[in-house]
Amino acid sequence: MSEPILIENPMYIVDARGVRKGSSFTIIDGEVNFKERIKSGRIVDARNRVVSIGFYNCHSHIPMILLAGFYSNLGFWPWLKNIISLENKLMDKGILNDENTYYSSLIYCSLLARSGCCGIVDMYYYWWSAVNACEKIGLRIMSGPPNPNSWSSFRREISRINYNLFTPIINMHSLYGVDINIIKSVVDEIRSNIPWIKLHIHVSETRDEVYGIWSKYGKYPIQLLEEYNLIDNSLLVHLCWTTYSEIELLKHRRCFMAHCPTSNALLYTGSVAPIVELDEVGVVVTLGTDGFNPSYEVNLRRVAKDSVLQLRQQYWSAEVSAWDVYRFLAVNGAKLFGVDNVIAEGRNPDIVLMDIVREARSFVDEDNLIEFIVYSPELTPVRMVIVNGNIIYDSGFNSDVEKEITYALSKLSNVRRKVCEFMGEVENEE
Amino acid sequence: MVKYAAALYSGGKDSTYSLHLAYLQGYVIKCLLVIIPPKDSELYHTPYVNLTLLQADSLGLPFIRIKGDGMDALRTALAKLRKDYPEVKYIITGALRSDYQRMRFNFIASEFNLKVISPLWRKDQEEYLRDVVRHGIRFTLTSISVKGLPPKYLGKIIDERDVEEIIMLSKVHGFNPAFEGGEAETLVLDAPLFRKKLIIEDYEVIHEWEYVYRLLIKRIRVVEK
Repeated sequence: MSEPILIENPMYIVDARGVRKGSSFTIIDGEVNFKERIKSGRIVDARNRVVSIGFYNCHSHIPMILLAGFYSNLGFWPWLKNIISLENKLMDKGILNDENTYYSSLIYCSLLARSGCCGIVDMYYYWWSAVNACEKIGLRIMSGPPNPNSWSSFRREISRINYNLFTPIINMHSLYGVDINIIKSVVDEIRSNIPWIKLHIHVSETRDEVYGIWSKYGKYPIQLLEEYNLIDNSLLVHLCWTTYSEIELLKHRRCFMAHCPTSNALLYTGSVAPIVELDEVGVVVTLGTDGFNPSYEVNLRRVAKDSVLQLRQQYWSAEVSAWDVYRFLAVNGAKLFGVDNVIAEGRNPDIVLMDIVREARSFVDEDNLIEFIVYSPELTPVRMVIVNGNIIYDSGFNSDVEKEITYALSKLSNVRRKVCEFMGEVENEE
Repeated sequence: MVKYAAALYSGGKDSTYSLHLAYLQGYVIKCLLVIIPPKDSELYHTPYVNLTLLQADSLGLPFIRIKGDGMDALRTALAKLRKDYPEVKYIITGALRSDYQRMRFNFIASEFNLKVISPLWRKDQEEYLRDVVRHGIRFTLTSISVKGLPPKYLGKIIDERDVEEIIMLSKVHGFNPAFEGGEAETLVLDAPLFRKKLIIEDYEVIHEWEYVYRLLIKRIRVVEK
């Protein structure tokens, strides 16, 4: 049982149905109620605030914040090659371990929650550490062991998790990282036990990847996935180099995609995903931070802003609106997580409360609120995040989490020093 | 950083306009790549590709000219480009919506570690056609192979009124207004980057069959601007 919450007099409410003037409502055990007043519980003064459904980070490798800034100016393939080599060496030395990935994940999750994130899809080594970090903070998470090779190992791995906001997902890295026949047989085996489970896979991120697949199979990546019946119920990540013939194959399929504009641009992968066309054919477009990070900034709303800016530039038009990006960030993200995306009687959405700062207040109205949310995160900062009926962030975390974050920061500063020393040794050896 | 580029050039509106935009975006065009394909090429623009010599002269650019088709022809052209212009790192293409072109160009370019820039990629087709004319690309149609596009455009420099008419006809008859599906082929006679312009002095419109027409250019002249 979570503490009842009264959201009192919000200025506006935003959800899948659009923007409307706000009215007070309660959240009791996660369920929205516009009629009932609570006698005890938490009363939130939302007079100058916007209430929105939650935001979702639909693709990430959250512990990688430990390696932020390394090899960050090399472009995709040299970066990936160097990072994998570094990760392997750090694992051999015991520097990259479940404890350190937990603390890295905790930092990442705390930064994400500050930008209104309510759920994360993740793929990384020591995957349970990211789940534990999400549990500590109270976030939803979809994850699972990377590149599982059988149902029995997958079941063994996921059975170690006992967190009600955890959903397993089949994390297969990519078509160039794992043989398609293995992907097919493992996915089929897992789905024969968990029929609803999603496949989470990187697809068509770079030109070389697509060329490699095309040279090997004589098909583009989506065509290959189609041949193996792996499109439905999948979360396809990136799709930067997707062709029109592939988009046709995705028409009216139960398929999700995670668009990661900030990561794609920073790694200059050379092509922007055809988001307008994918959205038009019914692919559920969501947003993700991805794992590459040249600094320590983790901000889901920045990703949303980057997305609309990049797409407008790409299409030379305003075909992608602020509302579209809000849909990707919140409405479609909620769909992926199977969470309600409307704030209505009897529904159970995650909730984000954003301030409208004093300077902007007189300029915001129902017609331009979405523009303020998408283009001006600094004018509409997140103040509160409610996941599954629990306040997980209220201009800060609870004292227990804050204490753990403080410890994680000091711990990671030491780990980071060790990584730098280790890199120096490697360079000297070379 | 100077961005040295080579433009894959067919002499039509798409390759000329993409070269124009690349120039505006700061690419330094070192040469043109001209593929002389067989008549039925799926990858390259064919009619009057031989006139690209005159256009290259108008642009004041050297060119690499390769006879052939498919990916091999481009591979040969890029190998020569690598040898003659090692400073070139980018290939400019006029791909609009054809993945067949875009991806094949990209695949071959990746073998030579070249990046492909397609400034027209996924732009709105109607707006694109308006922009081409608005930005001073003077072109005519050299062939028509779609129902609904009248032969009066063959040999005529397409103006803004023609563009609106073509867009309207494309909606009525369901063809691509930028002719991306090969509905028509074009020849650029003048453009902002041309130092000289081409003038068609004598031509004939050949009605090949049903709604297929071809422009037979009998005499063409290059004049100083």
